[in-house]
Amino acid sequence: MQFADIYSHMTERSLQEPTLLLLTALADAPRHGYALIQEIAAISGGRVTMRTGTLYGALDRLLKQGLIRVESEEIVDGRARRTYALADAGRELLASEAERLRAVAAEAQRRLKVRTVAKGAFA
Amino acid sequence: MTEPSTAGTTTSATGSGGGLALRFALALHPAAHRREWGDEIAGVFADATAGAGRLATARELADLAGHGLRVRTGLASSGIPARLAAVVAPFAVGAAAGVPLFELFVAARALVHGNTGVLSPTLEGWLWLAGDVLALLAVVTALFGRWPAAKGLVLLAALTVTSSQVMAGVAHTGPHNPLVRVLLGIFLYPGLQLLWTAMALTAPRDLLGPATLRRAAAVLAGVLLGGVVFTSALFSYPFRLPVDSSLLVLLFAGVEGPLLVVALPALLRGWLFPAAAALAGLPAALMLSLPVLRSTTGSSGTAALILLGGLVLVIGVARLWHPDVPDRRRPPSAG
Repeated sequence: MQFADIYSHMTERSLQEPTLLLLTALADAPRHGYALIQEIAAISGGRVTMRTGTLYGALDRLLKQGLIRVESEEIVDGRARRTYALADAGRELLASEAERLRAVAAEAQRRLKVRTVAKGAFA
Repeated sequence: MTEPSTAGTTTSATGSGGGLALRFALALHPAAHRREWGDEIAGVFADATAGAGRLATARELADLAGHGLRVRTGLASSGIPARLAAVVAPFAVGAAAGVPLFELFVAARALVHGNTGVLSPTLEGWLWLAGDVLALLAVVTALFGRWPAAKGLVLLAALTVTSSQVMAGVAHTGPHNPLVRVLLGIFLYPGLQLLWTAMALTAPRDLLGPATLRRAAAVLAGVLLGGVVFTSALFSYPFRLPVDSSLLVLLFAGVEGPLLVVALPALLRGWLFPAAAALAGLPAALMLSLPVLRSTTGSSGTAALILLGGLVLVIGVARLWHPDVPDRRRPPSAG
């Protein structure tokens, strides 16, 4: 990964949702383009529909940033098909983002409980 | 969840009814990019649109065509221009919508005071109203983080308002109101809206995140700046503003000037925000400079300068039309 890319990751407060969903979809296994679209829809509960052009724009970017790599290329029904996998840098980035989100969620739950207890105390 | 690596059945993309449209969308990609990705993209497109309705297929095609144009013009999401555009986009949507929204506000205010003359029962009058409503919807969708809808609506609003202005302007040409002056007036008003709309459209979807307080604030700041301050200053609507247009030009130059100076060094250090702020203010800077230009060079001179600027822009884009797309395919032996 180049310095500018590392810097841009460091300065971004958090990953944009489409990027986060794409990296998450690749976290457990390599996948090809259409499988990624389906997986992203499933992970987001149908909320996010990643279209083909957007998907390939994101894949192109993540490849350039060294966050994913081409795992394999095959011919299916006479057509070239690549399978993408998470690169080490992408795995590290996704892990740190997941940890950040986990910490925020834990803190939110803790504060909600404090609020509930406080309301109960004044009741 | 899908099975890794094997999900999806590839169907014939070119054999479907959208085959011609798909070929056109792929033709918008640079040849090198098409050679590298074309087959794969066509396969995924075929899977994604299998059994889909016309609207869903049209959306896929528009997205694919947009991706091709982005790669061609160097605005793919891997580049700095696209990242800049993504930072600017929420503000740009608000600013583009703010221009006609302000007019809607003025019309509503006139109606409240019993002036029904603002409701012109002509085609251009209805187009103008439709543009204002579309702009309002664009702001609402942007506040909810629905970026594809917001960008589509803001584009429709800009085109509708521009059509309305062109129709109204051409109808009023005459010996004392030559076409060049009318066209300049048209450029002055929807030009601001069109420039911000273009900025919003260049932001790729995968770099635009969900609705956040910061993005909502940027949208509203855009509405405020694009709508109230600049249209008021430029077109002297009946509002008392704390500044007049000449003071506004000075104030704006005081902010935009330093931003433009620091934009490039900041970009080289990887800081996007100063350049994004400078970019966001650029349409306003151009529009604010037009009245000054018109007073010094006259309508024809200003029109010539605008044409020259447009020509330089077109040449610049044309030079990017054949970008070098490196082949990133791995050799078969690589693990």
